[in-house]
Amino acid sequence: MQVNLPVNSWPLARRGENARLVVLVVPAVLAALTLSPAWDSQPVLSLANWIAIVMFAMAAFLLADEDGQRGTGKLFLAAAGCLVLLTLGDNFRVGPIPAVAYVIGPLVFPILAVVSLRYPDPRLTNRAHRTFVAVEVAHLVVLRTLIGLTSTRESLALPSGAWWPQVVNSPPLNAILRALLDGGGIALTVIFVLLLRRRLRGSFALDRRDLLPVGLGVIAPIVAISVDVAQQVVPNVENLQTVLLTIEAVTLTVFPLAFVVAAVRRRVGRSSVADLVIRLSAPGTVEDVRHALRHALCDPGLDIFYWVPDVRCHVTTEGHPVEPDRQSADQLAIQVLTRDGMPLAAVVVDRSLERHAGLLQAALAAAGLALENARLQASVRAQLEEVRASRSRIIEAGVTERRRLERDLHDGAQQRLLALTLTVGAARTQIHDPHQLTLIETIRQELHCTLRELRELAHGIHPAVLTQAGLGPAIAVVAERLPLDVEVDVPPRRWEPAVEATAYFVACEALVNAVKHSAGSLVRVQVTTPGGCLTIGIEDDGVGGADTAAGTGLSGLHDRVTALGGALSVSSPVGGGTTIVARLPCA
Amino acid sequence: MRVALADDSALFRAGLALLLTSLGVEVVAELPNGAALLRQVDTDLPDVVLVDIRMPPTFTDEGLAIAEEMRRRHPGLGVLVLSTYAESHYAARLLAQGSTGIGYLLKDRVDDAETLRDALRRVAEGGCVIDPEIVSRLLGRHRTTSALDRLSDKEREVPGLMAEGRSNIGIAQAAFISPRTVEKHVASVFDKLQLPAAADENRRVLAVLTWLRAAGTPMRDG
Repeated sequence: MQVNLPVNSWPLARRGENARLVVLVVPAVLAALTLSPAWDSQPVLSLANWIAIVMFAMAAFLLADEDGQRGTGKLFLAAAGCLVLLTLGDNFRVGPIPAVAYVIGPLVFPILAVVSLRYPDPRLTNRAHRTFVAVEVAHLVVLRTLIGLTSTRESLALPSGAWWPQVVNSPPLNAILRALLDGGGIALTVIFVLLLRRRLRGSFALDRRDLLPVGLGVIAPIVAISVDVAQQVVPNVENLQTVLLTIEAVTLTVFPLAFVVAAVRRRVGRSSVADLVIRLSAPGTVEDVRHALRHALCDPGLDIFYWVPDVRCHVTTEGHPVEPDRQSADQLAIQVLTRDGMPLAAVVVDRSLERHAGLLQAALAAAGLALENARLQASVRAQLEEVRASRSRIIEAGVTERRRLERDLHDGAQQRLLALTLTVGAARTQIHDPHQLTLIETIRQELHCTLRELRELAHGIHPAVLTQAGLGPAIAVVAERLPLDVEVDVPPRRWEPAVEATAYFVACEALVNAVKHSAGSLVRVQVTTPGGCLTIGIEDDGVGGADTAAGTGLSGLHDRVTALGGALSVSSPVGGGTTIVARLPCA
Repeated sequence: MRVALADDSALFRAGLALLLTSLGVEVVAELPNGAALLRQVDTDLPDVVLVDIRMPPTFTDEGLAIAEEMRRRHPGLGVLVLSTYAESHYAARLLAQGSTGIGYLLKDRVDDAETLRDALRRVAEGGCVIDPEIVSRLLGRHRTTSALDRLSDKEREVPGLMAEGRSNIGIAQAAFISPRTVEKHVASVFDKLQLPAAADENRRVLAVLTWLRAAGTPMRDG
């Protein structure tokens, strides 16, 4: 059992679980350490901050395990680092720590913006998005550096042990710079919301499920900006400041939490592969296998085309030949091989599953044996389908041949004999001898008998009226000759010759049976065309109770009808009349 | 009388021409298809044309289309359509074009010199000729509900005999009743079929058409 997928989406080498645990443990420990001075004074805020950092680390840890999402994992790790740096700056006010934290720490917001704008793609491809992120980074770094250079240590309530790069002491300039930082922050947040909204609107329905966590990314910067503004507006009451900061920390937690939930859900999805193995361990039909795979991969459009070596082509679950579309934009055709490396099936899935290659590979591997068993069934179906198609072709060839025979009889023998009757007729006008006239009259009578027989023969082979005028007139001609009332209701349209001929012969047989056995007085012949089929129903008001099993000419007709892929049913309750219905598919 | 004929079978054309000639009818043209017949009739108008219903290119009902076209171009021309099979729906479609100077006969009917002569004469005079086999089949046909059900058995014979193109006298002879009784029946038929009191001949045509339609004959194209 092998699964062939594009190589780049199959990174088989994976880093060990232990190595990845570092991603989770180190930020958690570091955050605990950086928060340690504040644990006693502000336990709630400290806990909220720690949880936020741990949640970013958790998202980084989980995404590091997913193909194509390691970059996003690294960004989450960087975000966690920024948050650690911010707590470090708040709680360890020595040396350059507060200054570095002031400039670098807020970069957590551009990082969140990058994740929101590109996920699940591995890079920012949109030019507007790239510009936005660059502007946001420049805005934060440049303005905060300038603010740092113009702020006094006292205005920041920094202890003497802390280094602060104040160059100019200009409160007005400092106020202008701070206004620029806040105003620009608000403007950038609005732009970010608009960009994100456009992105979510333009996404495909299938991807929207993946993008749900991204939508939450919008909340964090809005709340952060609001808190920043609120801090400057509300009086400097310590408790209120703490509450605002706690809200900010909790809000910040929501974003990585959404990614953590999504990642966990994908892991649970992978456990559906385990269900798949159990489900497919019992022998099942081709439909069972398809249903199980659709369920496991949450792809209702998934289909399996089995490779049948005898006919050297793929066949559908129903046994029809098919060529998988390998160039489709929305679907991915995956070639599955047997254990011997021979083609087994092409599994066609939604292209969005390409990102969940691990899940896909696991599911197809689990379905391997079931697919091999199901292929046997699909092969038998394909053979049956081929037999049915060939029966259908034989019937069609038969109808064509009968039409040709009728035409040959009409154009050949019939016209020749008709010409002969005219010649005899001409001769009769020239003869006056009674004896000769008797002879001529005998010849004429015999000619007419021969012509009549020939006409009946030709009509029995294939009625010309069916070829020329269609089903309705042909059945009307039959009805005209019957000694009971016949209502004929046939739409004035044409069908394929084989379909028309089969419907016609069904009607003839049913009408003859009605005359012979029903003892009724009225027969209804009705043709309807539900869903591209031709359905002909012949219903009499006779005694019913017909023996539908044996002896009737219907068994031969049953074969013809089924050969065309249709169905013939007879209903004849005692005292309830007889109804014969033939349903014929039309191409 | 001058006639032109069209049939894709050369043998049948020759036989028909032979018989017509022996009847003293002048055959001005023997043609293998309808298009050639149309050209011939346009250049040299005969009294009657005899045209096979099933001819090239489609071998279905070219004769009907040709008949309609010739009658459109030359309203006084008699058209006698010949058919190998007795097909009532073709007769009905032919009569739907009008019922003056028109006829529909089976090919194995025309070997009888008298029948042929009689049909040609009636069609040339603007009458209507329908093959007795078609008439008897439609007459014998069982129906469910139609205007004709209101007619008595004797009355019901009348439109059938009309459809064969007979006059009241002719109907009287064929049905073995007095001309007076025929007139009574005809009036009753017109009344029961609710035919407007227009020209008598027109009402006769309508009676025939009602009768053909009521017989369940599909008046459809194709």
